[in-house]
Amino acid sequence: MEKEDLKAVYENDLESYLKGLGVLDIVQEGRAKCKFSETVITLDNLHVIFPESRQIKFVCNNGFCIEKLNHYLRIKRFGE
Amino acid sequence: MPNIKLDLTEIFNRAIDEQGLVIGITIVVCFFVFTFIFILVSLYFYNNPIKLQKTISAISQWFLWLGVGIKKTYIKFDTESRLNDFIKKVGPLVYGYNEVGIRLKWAEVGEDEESFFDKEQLVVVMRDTGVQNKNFVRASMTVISKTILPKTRRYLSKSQCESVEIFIAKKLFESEKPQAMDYFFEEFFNKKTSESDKIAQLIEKYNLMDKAGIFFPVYMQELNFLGEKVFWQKRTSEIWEEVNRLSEFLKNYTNRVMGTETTPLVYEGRFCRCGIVIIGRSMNVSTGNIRIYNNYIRRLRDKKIETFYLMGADSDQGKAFVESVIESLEDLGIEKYRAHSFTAKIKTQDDYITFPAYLCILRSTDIERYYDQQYQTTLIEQGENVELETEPDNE
Repeated sequence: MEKEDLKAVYENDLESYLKGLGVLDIVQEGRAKCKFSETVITLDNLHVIFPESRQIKFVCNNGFCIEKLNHYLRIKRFGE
Repeated sequence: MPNIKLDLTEIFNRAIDEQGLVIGITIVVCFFVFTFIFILVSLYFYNNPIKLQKTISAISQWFLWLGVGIKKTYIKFDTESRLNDFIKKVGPLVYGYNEVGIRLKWAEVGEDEESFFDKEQLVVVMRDTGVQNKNFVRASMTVISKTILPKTRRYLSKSQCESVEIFIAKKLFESEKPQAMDYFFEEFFNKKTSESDKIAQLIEKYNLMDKAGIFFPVYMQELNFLGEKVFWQKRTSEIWEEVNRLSEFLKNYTNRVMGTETTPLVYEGRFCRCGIVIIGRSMNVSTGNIRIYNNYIRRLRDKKIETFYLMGADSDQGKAFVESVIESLEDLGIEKYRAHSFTAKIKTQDDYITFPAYLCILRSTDIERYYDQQYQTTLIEQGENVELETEPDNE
């Protein structure tokens, strides 16, 4: 079976990963917002990170926002 | 190697000398039995890599209980194996299904911003194993959105698309991870069905279709064919209405009482044109009377029906009869696409009965395709990366 990569970051590595991307401070200071609901992103509610127009976008773990993200993926496919 | 051989021989000799022949033979037999079992297990896992992933996932979980920190391994293999197993099960049911599994890759800690932008990938946060059910549900929803009906989805309405995804996700969790159902219902299913009557109604129809065994092989199949017919055409209410009528047609078929002839078995839309041909009369089957089905299919073909779903009994005689009907249609410009066995549920006057059914899909070799020339020209001018419109769900 052909397989597509699904990139993931483990919770325990999340801080280091965000630090590498240069956005840990933004998240810890409560300045990062969910792309779909404007919810303040924290280390506990962050579900997805993705690039858009050379900006880093965040999506929170609310079911509504995951659904919005899925709808968004229907239009824009990543990694292709 | 020579040393090992020598050691083994010495051990055997000593065992025979000191403990007697019985112990020696026991050692030799055990050696060969374990080697044989090892080879068999290796071959089994070689041929079933998903089972291997599941086994690693289970073993990792045991180690977790013992406090050994291999949580990432467990999360990776648990997510991969269950999702890939499900995708593998759906694949054979729907011709043309984009059977693409997933490979969960851990992001490199320390990756910089530039590399992140260059790779253009989405990164999912996987939580601690205590919430692995949530990880699995969230990752599955994302994967389902990417793999189900890749060509057709751009033409469906939001509720049509979401209802299919929610229903398939429900099937996935029922079969692969029932313990994740609570979270799925709480976070996705209940929210979606309570906020949209349209989605709730469509899921109810899918439930009925699935019970009758036609959700994947007929409905999903028709949606898949639809995506191959309408190239680069905008989402239009015409396609949405067509899909709604198709689902209504199939719902009515599932409510059909066995033996009645008033329920339509043919759907004649603009984009979807299909007919269900029930090959069930035992008198015709036992006497090999294919003429009645041959004539019926020819009449449907005259009406430009493109796809035929021939349903018969899943027995040697039933299959042979269906095949002989197909052979008699060779001159008709249709070809056999695929066949499979499933358990059908049919309504009777008082109850439902289930029986093993055989489904054969025939497809016209001359399919009418639809292009929107103006839209296609725009796409060519702007490149294929133009964003398709996300119209509101106002069917």
